[in-house]
Amino acid sequence: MGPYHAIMVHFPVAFWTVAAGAIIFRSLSDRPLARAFDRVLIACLVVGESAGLVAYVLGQLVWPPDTLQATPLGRNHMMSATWSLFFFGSVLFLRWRAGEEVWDGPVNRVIMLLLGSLGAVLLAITGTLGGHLHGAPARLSDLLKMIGLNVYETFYLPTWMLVVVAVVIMALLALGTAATRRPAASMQHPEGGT
Amino acid sequence: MEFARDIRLQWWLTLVAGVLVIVTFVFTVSRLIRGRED
Repeated sequence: MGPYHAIMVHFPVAFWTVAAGAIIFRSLSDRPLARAFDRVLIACLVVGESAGLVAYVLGQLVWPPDTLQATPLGRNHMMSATWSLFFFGSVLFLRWRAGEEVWDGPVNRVIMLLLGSLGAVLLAITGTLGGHLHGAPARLSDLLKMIGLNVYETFYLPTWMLVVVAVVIMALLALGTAATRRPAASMQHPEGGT
Repeated sequence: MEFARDIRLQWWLTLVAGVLVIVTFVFTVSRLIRGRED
């Protein structure tokens, strides 16, 4: 399945790269071209996510799971691919759910700019690791090494860091729930002063 | 074997934790944006 995975990954890479570029461009600009990019953003993300899912499944079939997970490159590639898939799926959900309001105000735009940039970085890391596995290493791994990520060593968080991540997840859930409850609570007394 | 069982568990936990952080972060952002809109 190796060659088919290599063929198939072109599609999510292409569509997600365009999507990340469109997000970055739109978060920085209100010009007609940026708006035009935004109009095709959901389509790009849907096609990218669908093709990414197929490429991910094909990637899991290149080698048996134990073999894939036998090398740090395989483990790191699988991890970054999983994160990329969920990341762009989540961005698709955000853009679909929140609509064009994601571009309202500087805070929303900064968040989208960060998401677009993070998606591009995640995609670059995933592609670099895939290239290493495929026998075509890129210099990007040298850049990653400068920030402490050695692609030839398994990336994992220590237990204390996992605890911090768990706390962050709980805090995010609480924040999201509070944001949901506030309008609901205010709707119990609609225009109470009048 | 370099990839000992405890490291394998740690790696899986990191993978899952990353997914959960991504999903909860974007979910929360979508809630905040819609909440502010309401």
